[in-house]
Amino acid sequence: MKTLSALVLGFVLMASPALAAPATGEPIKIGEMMPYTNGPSFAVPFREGWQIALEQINKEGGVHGRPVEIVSRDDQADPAVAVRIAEELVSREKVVMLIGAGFDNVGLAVGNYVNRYHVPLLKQWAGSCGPIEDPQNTYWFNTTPCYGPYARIFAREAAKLPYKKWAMIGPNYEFGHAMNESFKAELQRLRPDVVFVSERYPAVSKINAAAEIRAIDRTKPDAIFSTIFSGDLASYLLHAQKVGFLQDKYCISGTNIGSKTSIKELGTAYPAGWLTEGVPQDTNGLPVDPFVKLYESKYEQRPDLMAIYGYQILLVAVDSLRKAKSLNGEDIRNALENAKIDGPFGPVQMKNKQLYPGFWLGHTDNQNGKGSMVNLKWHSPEDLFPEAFQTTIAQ
Amino acid sequence: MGWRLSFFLIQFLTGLSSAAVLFLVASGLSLIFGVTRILNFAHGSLYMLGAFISYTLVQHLGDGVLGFWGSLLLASCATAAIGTIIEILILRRIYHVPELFQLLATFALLLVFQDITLHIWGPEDLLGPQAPSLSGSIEILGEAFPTYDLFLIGLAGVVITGLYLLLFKTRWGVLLRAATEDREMLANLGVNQKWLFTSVFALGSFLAGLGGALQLPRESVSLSMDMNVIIDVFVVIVIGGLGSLRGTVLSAIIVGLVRAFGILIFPEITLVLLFLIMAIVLIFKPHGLFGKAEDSVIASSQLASGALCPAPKWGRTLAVVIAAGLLTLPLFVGDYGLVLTSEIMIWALFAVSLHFIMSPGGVGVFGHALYFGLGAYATALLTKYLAVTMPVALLASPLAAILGAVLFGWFCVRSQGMYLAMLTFAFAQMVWAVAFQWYDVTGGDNGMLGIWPAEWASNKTAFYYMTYALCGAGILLLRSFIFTPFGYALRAVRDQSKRAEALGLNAMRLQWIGMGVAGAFAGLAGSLFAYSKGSVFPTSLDIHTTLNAFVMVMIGGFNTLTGPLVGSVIYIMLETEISRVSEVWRLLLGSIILAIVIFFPQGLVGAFNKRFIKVKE
Repeated sequence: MKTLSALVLGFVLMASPALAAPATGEPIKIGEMMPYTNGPSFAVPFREGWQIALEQINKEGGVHGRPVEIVSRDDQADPAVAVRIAEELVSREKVVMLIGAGFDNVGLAVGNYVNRYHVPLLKQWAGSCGPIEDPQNTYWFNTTPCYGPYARIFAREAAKLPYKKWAMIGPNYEFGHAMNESFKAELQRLRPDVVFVSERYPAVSKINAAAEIRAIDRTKPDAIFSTIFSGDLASYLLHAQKVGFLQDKYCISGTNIGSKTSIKELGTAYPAGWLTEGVPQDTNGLPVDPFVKLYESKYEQRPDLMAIYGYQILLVAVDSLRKAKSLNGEDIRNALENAKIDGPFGPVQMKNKQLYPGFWLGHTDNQNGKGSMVNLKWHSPEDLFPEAFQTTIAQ
Repeated sequence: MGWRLSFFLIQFLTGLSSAAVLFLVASGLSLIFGVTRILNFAHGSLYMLGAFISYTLVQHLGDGVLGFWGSLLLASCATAAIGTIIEILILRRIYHVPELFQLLATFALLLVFQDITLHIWGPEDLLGPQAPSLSGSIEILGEAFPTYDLFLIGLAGVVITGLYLLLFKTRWGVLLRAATEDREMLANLGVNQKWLFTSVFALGSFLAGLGGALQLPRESVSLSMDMNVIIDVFVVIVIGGLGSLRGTVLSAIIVGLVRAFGILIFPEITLVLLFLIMAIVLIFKPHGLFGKAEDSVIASSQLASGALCPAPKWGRTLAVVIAAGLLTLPLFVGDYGLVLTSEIMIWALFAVSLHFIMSPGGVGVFGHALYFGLGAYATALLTKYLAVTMPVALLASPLAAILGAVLFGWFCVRSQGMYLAMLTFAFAQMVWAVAFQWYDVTGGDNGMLGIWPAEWASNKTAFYYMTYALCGAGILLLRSFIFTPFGYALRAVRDQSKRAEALGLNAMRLQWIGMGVAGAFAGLAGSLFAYSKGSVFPTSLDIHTTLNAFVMVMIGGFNTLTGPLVGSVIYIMLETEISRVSEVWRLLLGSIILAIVIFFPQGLVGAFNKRFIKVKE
């Protein structure tokens, strides 16, 4: 019986070279973790994204004919729990690599673990640049650039504008300071005439919007760079709406508020005219389009940026598994160093442990209480991150 | 800087408007505490539910004048109904249990409501409409000030007046004040307390729901509203004095103003500031600004009582068998088994240290994570900045925790009951806030990385044996302290503090030393925890760490010696296994805690002892 089916399978394979056989045999396991029960709105879209990639990959024959299996865990947004889960995934489930680890602190704890135990980790978005660029880091990779280059994108856009008096507001922890300081340094380098009149760092999820806005308003800035997010941003916008604070100020949001989730979460208070990152409504002809179609047919809604990241991360993971000489940690790691995919953001390649996909930058809009993104423009990685691409050439 | 008078006035009004919301929520909690003596964590859930329900109602009724205000009012009534159901179904059953158990039970309710809310409304934040005709601002001395915030200040004034009239001009108010003064006297006079308590609970829940619903035009409705508000509100009612209405008013204003001006003057320490004020007030006024001394009957002495006996012969044999079994464990289980067992042993040591200070020590602390975190951070800081070796760090961490216990304990042992619990809580939150906000030194939220054990202990088996030896020794030492003269003296102070003092025992000093001893072992556990994870984060200092240990002690049984050990094994196994397969881990955990408080307040080991072993009374 077995021989027969193998024969049939072989025949089918020969007859239709374009269609690979579905994967069979012992699965190759990848461990995944996200804060599923702590309620951040990015965890589930992320899972939906990689689930689509997983189906596709296994239909196409998996990795060298073996199916890929993802063992998914809830990291409870707690770094200590995440390390225990990493131990469990690696020593009990025998996963060959880890993906996910949502929050920055969880990612850092797991990154610290994988470097010691030589398990490759792919994280969907980066944190501050220090840990990932640290020469001691050998096993942790990101599929988006860390805060420094990301903030510099916005500084370059800001430098093109006529505004000279800038204010900044960001959450008072590492992320906020890292983003804002990178922005400030780059803008001042490009435009020595710019002054920063106010820098505010309210405590995370404890913002006193009225007091912060008054403190900024006293310094009369022309433009504001902001990295506060979710609840803090909502309180800030609601108060700004009441006192008319933002009417005459240009704003850039370094945190992505162009996503579908943000538009929904900020509701009627969604700001208009802010520069930020987003996904275009019309994706026809774009590299992301096939994924958008798959996602829409499966979940009956448009994918959020996080779902695209979830899709992309598994493509990168599987690319490295396919190219790796063997499935031991070091070989996968070496393959990851040069991972290269033609993914939802077009062709991208790993550079210095980070992927530099391009971004759509555009302006937020609010028509009668309904938020949207307008004038989204694609920026290619070479334009956005010249330094990353130049260093590779120099090497 | 050119700060003008108008700037101060507006900032003052901003402070008052946040005080207004704090007052609404806090007054409800304070009223409830006054009669039931329960400090209700789930009050935060009611506040959150008020916001969620009114959001949903506004979607259906529209954001016109009638729709908006109607939704707010209906949501508050719905919250009052939910509060009433909670009181009848659950709280009525726990009025007789010790106060820290009540605190824990209401925290369990908060966990349950978090999962229920998540499943009804989903994980995304929701943003409601602005209030009709109050969506703009008016100009005061040339500065714009939101009319809605002005409205809130006025509304708080109306509520204060209403509550005053209710308390002082109605029969219900007289009964309520009488119950606050002396519950037993009121019961003797034939007043049906059951419905008095229920009605107070309904009123308090209404105010919580109203507070939450009124936030709609000010912030987005989110799943973190409950914890965010409840910690602030605890601070407010503790500063004001538990159960005192005018204390709550004054303290809400103080907190609101400190927040508004603190941000301008000390932007870096906003999180610490609040707890610092609370600690200072409690040091000088141990019962808050207007609180009264509680009857010592309700103080911590109820936590545990009766004798603790050394283990019987069969118990010792069993312990030796288990200890020997654990020694051979690496022969049978893989790396993950060893990692998990090491983690259980570390938590067991932490839980035993908490049990030591609470049960034989008789000090009802609610911030034990402080010492665990101090140990962990001492290890991390010494490793990072002084590059000390592991043995040195393992020795220094308990010392750091002792230092903390000496400093904070000195203030704590001068306080009692719920105030003591809140003071320990405040200290733990302060140190947490320092670790969280002082990111140049502690890395803030990003924690401290690369804290790995020394080369010789780096493989899992070696680390397991080291943890085994240190935790085993720690647990045995803590246990043996209980049967030294020091341990007997601690229990004498706990059970009969006046008599003990008459015998020449210095109660405060004994409890102070007790906190140092418990802190030292918690610090050791924290240091081992840091090495086992390779990193340290502010979460090691937060309220969940305290609660984990608390639940372990409770599962096992408060008044037993083996309880914390059994509890930590069961808790960690449950957590790792259930959270792997279930998305409602918090709901399950909350239900387990509630079941224990209501049905097995003596814990599993306690129930076992009662059933099978005659404990000498």
